[in-house]
Amino acid sequence: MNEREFRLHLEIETTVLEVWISQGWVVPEVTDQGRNFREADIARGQLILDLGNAMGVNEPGVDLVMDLVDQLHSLRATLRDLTDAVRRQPSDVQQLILSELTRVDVLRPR
Amino acid sequence: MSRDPYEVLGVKRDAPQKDIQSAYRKLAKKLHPDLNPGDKQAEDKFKEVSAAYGIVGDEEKRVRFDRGEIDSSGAEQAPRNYYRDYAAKEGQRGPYQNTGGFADFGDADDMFSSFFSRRSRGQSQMQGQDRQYSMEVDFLDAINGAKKQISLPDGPALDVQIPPGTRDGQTLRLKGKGDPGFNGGPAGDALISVHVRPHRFYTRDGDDIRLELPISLTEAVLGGKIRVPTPSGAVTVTLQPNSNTGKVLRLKGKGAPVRGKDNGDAYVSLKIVLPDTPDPELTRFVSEWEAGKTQDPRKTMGG
Repeated sequence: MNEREFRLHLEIETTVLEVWISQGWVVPEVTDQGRNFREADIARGQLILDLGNAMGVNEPGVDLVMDLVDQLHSLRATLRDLTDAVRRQPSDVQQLILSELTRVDVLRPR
Repeated sequence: MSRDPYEVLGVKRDAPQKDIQSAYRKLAKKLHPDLNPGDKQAEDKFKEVSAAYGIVGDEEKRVRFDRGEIDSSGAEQAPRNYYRDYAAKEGQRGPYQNTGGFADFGDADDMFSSFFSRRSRGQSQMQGQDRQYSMEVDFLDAINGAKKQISLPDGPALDVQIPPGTRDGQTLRLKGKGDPGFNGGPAGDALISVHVRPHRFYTRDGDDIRLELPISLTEAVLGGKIRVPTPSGAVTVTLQPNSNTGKVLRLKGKGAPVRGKDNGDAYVSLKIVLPDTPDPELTRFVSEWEAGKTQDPRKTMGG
């Protein structure tokens, strides 16, 4: 959707959107016809509004949260790829990895 | 019937408006689905808390609720999508990737390090991700080069030029055929790892080709011109008389092509093959052949 539709959907002013974009909280696609927003950008916008309105988080706080949320999702995606890759291995390889993850170091008395 | 909004927010019925707001904010921070991406129940809990605050968070509505004019189901929230649903679909791609939390996983020379370190948010233009593919090609196509049409799982058909001399496991890079870039950034590349199918009688040894060539007893004893197949076409080779099994002929330049260098060679290992069915004439000759009876081909093996 275009910029106007995006602002109408979230009921936000141009100045608010400019802050979001300059902070990198929302990164629209830039095309010849102007900015293009995806459904994911709407959902991000709602999260930003929830943070500011419902939770009373201020601008530096929103910046911090969005940064950590993005780190969290990248980490989740990476972890999902890794577990998917492990799941595609033969069962003996999976067993080896599992036993490595649940390894208990044996302590010996001196 | 929904739960009592005061109970949901954990406040007394006569709590001041300010306390209701701070109770709600505290719960919202704890329960927001985007701040709990792995918690499936977070959405329902957050919905319930938001609905409760929708009534008693508004002074006017709170008065009407207390009077019994509206009930707690009056503030149903419109269904909405949370960012976590999209973030999960985007996976490793998209403009919001941020590996700041784990880009240090794996040492620099670790094969996993590039898997963990991807690019971060805030860049206005970004190149799309590279995509990994693999494909099988016939032995001769890999040696001689070929044009293959493949279709990417979620993309159009694509012409791939297999360069002559391609080795098993070699990676071909198709520029710009990976994921699209962001904000006009260039697309990533498609990286295709090539697996070469084994051939019926050729094997590859570096840039050289090896093959075992069956020859008849007559050809072995008398020698003469024979046709030898090579990946680039059959050639005529003159066989010396008395050419034994295991003798190796080198056909210069008949191996795999090498960019910027001379071609590899073909090594032809001879193998004498008797007639498929016993030949009475041959049997008679050999049974009367004295030198054949005294020959001991295993004398170097001891025992």
